[in-house]
Amino acid sequence: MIKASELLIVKRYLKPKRKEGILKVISIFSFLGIGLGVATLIIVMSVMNGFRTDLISKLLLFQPHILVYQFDDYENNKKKIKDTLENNQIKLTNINLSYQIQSLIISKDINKGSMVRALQKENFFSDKLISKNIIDGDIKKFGNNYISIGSNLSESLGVWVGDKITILSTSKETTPFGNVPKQYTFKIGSVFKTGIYEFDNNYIIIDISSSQDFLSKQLTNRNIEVRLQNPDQSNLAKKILEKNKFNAFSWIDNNKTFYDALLVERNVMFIILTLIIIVAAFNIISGLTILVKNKTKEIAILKTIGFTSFSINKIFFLTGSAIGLAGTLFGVILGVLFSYNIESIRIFLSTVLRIEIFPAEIYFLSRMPSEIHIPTILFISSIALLITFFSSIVPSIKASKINPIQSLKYD
Amino acid sequence: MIKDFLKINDLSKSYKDSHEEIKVLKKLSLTLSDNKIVALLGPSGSGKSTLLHMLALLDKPDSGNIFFNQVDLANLDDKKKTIYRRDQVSVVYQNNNLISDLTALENVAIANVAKTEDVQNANVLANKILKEFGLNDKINKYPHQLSGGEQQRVAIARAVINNPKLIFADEPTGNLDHKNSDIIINFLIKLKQPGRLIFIATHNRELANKLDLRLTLVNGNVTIES
Repeated sequence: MIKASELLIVKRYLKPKRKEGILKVISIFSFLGIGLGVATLIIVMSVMNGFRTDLISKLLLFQPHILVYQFDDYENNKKKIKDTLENNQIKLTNINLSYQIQSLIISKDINKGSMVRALQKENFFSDKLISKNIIDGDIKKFGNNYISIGSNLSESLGVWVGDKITILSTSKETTPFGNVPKQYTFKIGSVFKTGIYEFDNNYIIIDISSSQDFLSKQLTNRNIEVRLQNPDQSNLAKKILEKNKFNAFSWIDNNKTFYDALLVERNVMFIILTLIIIVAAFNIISGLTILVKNKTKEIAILKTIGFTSFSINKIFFLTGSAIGLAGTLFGVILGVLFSYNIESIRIFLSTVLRIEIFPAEIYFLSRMPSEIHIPTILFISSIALLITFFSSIVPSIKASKINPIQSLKYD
Repeated sequence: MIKDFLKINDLSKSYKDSHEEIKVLKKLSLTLSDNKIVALLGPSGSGKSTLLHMLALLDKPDSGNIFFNQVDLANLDDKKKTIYRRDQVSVVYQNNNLISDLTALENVAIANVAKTEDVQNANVLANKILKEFGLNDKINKYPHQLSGGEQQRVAIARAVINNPKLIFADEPTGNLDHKNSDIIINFLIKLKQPGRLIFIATHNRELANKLDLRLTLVNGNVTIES
């Protein structure tokens, strides 16, 4: 508990009415140092969060959150998966059937190994990644032998909307010449260009219901794709499904290296930027040490009028902590304001300095991403406060150990 | 009158210099009653400040006992020693008695706030005492805005705010001119009352002659002169 007498002295040390020269400067620099450190940490973490969300959301446009494989009856399992996840408070946005088949594509002149992705018609039409990125043909020309093809793949095969291509199946048919792979011919209905190289370069999308003959031999390549409201729950959802005897993997398993790299980058950045706060906290140590040295005689007087060593300790600890607390609050406000307005600040700086900051053609992002996480801000604030509290302890203990007789004798 | 208001038995204190041990007090014994103002005389280094610091429990004797109101102060734990310093004792030094960040009013009030934790009441009390000390126009001034005499008056005002039973003034007029010295001594003399004992350490014989008792410290021992 803070006593009124201690508070009276703390207030005066924090806001001296008379000019205190160097001490005032050190207090201001300690405050600014902590504040700027916290603000920098919040801004960088917010940008990294935004960048991560942006990258992952792009990645997840193309990939399901959970993929269930090796199952028998689709409808039955679909219901089971849905019920299992919803019973565990995991909300789903979509669940659908798909096939992913490695095939050889034959065009007029060129053969190329590619991925054939089979979707139900309604899922193809509602897939935002495809529907928003059709560059040629008509999206409605899908099914009944019409397919959609990636732009790079169509270019490398030299085929366009209306042309025919042949897909060589891995299943075989018996002919007088022996077993040969089955061939299926499709017509190109549309061309998509999503900007995702792997997708545009390798993928053909066909309709499940009108390609039953082709797909009937592909049961091992059949999957149930699940999309969740919160993709971060993917690993949890996967574990729940595995407990219920489903074979599943999540988008995190699929992109483990990328996901881990993002996480490591984020953690390393956090540690490096925390060093700014530690350096700023040294200002508090030096400021308090100078304060203790300057106030040695006054500490002695306080002890002679009945202040305990613990009270003296508290006074200096509270002084340092108050600077840390104010600095942290200032940093949080500055950091949050900056993060919220980072795009306007980028445009302003680009205009004033006449240089392009964060160019879209390099980063593939139309605007500077920023996402403020309240738990991250609370964590950063707690770390900053802990550092300043620890910084205040040593000078405070030193102050409490001052011997009043020695101080008054040698004054 | 309380005859053995303050009793000192065989009090010894020595300091270690780099080469030798300096015995400041040698088995000093003394009994004093209340309602007195005592001059503590002696040359520099004779142990006047050391004795006052031990009586205020700011320093520890090597041996011997101090009894205040028949209570052996050596038996007090740290908490009780702090309460003793806060409630029973006040010390006025030669200079630098005040806290530079506090106004005259706050410098006086702080001693009472430390005791009661009631800032409002302490300010009212401090205001009243400062008026009695003729400092009503200086209450909001900081120590550096006050003259030496005014600073000492503020220090004495702080010394009496908790109505202490022991007041130790360690050469309170040492840095003052004759006129201000007289003012300060007169203020201290006015503080004499039953249930209170005041010590004034001084080199000034003329000043000492105005007081009730004169204790002279020579070679670690004391001689008393009424």
